[in-house]
Amino acid sequence: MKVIVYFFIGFFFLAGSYSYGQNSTSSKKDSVSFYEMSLEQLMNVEISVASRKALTPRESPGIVTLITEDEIKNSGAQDLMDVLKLVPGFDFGSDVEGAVALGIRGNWAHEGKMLLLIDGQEMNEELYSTVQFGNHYPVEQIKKIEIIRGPGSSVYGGNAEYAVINIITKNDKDFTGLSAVGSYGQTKDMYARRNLSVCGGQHFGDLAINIGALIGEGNRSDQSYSDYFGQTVNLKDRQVLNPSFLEAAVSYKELSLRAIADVYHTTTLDGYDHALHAPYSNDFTSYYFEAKYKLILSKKFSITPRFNFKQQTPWNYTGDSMEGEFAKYNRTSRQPHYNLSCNYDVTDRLNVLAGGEYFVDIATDNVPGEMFNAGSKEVRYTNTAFYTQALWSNKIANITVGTRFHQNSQYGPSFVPRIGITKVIGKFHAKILFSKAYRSPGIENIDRSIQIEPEKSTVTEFETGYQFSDVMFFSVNLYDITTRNPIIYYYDNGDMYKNQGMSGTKGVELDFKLKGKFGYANLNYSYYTTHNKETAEDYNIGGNPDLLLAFPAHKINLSGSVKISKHASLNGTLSWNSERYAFIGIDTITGVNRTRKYDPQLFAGIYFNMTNILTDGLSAGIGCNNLLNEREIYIQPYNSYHAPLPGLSQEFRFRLTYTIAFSSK
Amino acid sequence: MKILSSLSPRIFFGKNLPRLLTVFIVLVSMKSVPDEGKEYSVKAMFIYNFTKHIEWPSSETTGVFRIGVIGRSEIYEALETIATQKKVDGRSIELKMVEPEDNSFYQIIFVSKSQSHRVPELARKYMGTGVLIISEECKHSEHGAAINLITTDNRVRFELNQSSVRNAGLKVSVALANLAIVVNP
Repeated sequence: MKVIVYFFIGFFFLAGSYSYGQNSTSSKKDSVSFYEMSLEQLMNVEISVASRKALTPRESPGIVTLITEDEIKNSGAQDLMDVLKLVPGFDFGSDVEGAVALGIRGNWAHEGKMLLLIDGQEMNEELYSTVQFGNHYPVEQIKKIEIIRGPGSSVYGGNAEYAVINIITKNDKDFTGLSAVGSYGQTKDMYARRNLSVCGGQHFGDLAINIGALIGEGNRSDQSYSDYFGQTVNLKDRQVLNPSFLEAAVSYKELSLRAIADVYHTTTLDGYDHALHAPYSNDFTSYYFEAKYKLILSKKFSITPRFNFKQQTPWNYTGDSMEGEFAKYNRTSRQPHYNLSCNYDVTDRLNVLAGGEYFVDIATDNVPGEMFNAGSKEVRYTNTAFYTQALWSNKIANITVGTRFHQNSQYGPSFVPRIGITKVIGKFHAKILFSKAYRSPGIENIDRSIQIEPEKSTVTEFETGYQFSDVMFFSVNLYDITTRNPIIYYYDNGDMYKNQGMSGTKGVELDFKLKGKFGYANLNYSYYTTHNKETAEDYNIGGNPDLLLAFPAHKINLSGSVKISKHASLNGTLSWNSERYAFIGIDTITGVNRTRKYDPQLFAGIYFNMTNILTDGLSAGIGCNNLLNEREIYIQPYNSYHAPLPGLSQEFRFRLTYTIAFSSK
Repeated sequence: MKILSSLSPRIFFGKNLPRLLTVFIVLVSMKSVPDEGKEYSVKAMFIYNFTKHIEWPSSETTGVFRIGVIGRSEIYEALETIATQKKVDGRSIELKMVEPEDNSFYQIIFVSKSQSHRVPELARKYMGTGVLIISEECKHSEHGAAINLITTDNRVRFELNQSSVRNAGLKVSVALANLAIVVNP
């Protein structure tokens, strides 16, 4: 590992000195007045998209993955999970009650360690801080996904310890019109999903209106599940994933209003540890509202007051169950959130962002006769946070320094600084990033374990990359994550949480992109290890100290698109992972967990896309996911008596899209 | 308090603090450079420069030089700045936001990203009329605008569709063609 580090550091400095010498020769060119430049000179001007604040991916102080609408559409993705599986360092594991969530760089990132934003709205629910994956979000409406594959707490707060996934949906600035997408997936014995998605945008002068809606039905698995105690049940049609998602936004000049209703109905047969006798509802209902106004006081200074409100009723079950095997849970969280941020371009190259926020986490128990551990029907925690970030772009490097201070009325203060130095030198770029990050305990974490503290991570990252040409790009990054006092779930006559020891990983990720007239190809590789790092006992596999439960050490993803004609493309995905380990049951004599090693797997997909069929605006796709019919499984990444949950087998997919363009008003 | 220990610069940066401070002071003392890198300022200058390399039909070479912009775009403001200080062959530049249905004559029509789906329709509409259609990041470049501005590696490039240029009744210089990514030669 050290050899690799020294190699890349040496490579970076050699390349840097070479390219920097080249750069200095262009200083004479820089002296020509911008408005006198010829085309040749203009072609050498490096641009910043929108402003210096919006750095390009090569400059931004984070390890970043960008996924475009075309890449999503071409790949045949019908679920956000299909897209995220191909991101370096990302993989999925299972929690309980049918929930599937992300592992990032080998670390379980389910509860409060990964922030999902959709058009700026924080999707994580506030009781356990989780995000639910599986036929949930409207993947057809996505314009782009910006992923920070590293900590984002200093900017985004206590749910962004390991990663931030920022989804931006299509709006009137990209397209004025209406688009409807019907998608269908079929396995051998049942449908995988059948969804209808509609989105549209139109502007009338400065007034812009955008809408998006998704309604559908889906299934988690068409396979059988054997629980920790050897009981087997068939999940076919019994573990459903039915989304209803509606988003509406109105903006007028600098004022914007946005509302989202997300009603996600699921059922669980896998339960917590024992498989259940019948599937029970496990619903996640969330409503989001945002009002934001950007007050531009001068060309250099703006203030943005923002108000957000979200109400969520996650993990909700209100019915009865056979022998009380599935308990009622009906708690609602509400969070009014006030934010004021100031943005100041101190000079052309120095930007400062600073702000403060105040929000209250309120939760109510709606089940008659039940209450929180605090002894009341309602709990309430207040939060105050201040953040600042300075971005200074100079000839030597882009330097970002940021901090965030967060005070919670129950668990006290958290303070996270970060510093990032990035530089693009011709075709090379390099980044050195040092960040502290934290995970805020959720409402239930606090209520169930009054002594709980925020967990803290220290993350060091280094990336270098080379743009071989306009069509070929390569980058490699190294990282080291150390998490102190990770918040770990355990069961002791009910859900409990504890801060336990240390955890973390280190590793390397490689990313290669090729784009040309033929189409494009993306290849990435990720590796993690826990070698010489302390690992919390509940994440450990006995006998393999360098690996964690559930997630493979090595993963390679390849996706590509080949243009067959102006209106047709053939697309493919390949994803290979090395061996994984799971606890699959308990030895009834010794009481020790039984470990199973799962062999390496290769998942393949193929998809054929056609646009403008018969008429403008009509396009269609057909393909096959899990072409090799591998047994897809999601392993629980912590020791809590849930056996590996199966996913979908080979699936044939169809998609039909019709788009109507409006004229601009 | 725990927070006080986190705030200590020496604990946070360790023994590298003096080195980091030195680097910081060196960087602070460097002169900042003027910001000419705004995407739409550069794109607007591209458009202005195109006028030096395009030959319009002789009937369209008198009076003001008219540029129309379809769809909301920051380029309008950037072109306005150019219009106040530049001329095209001695002619003043007149700038206007226009609707796709507008039938007035413009030497150049710029179609913003949000309206790029209208490019093929506009190309058909203005065929043979001596109107140069410029799009940006347009996926219809093979059967649409004469010029399509694209952004690659933080720099602006342009695709030149010579078939569309001919259909529009325009001529381009060899120098322009040499700098372009040629589509439909």
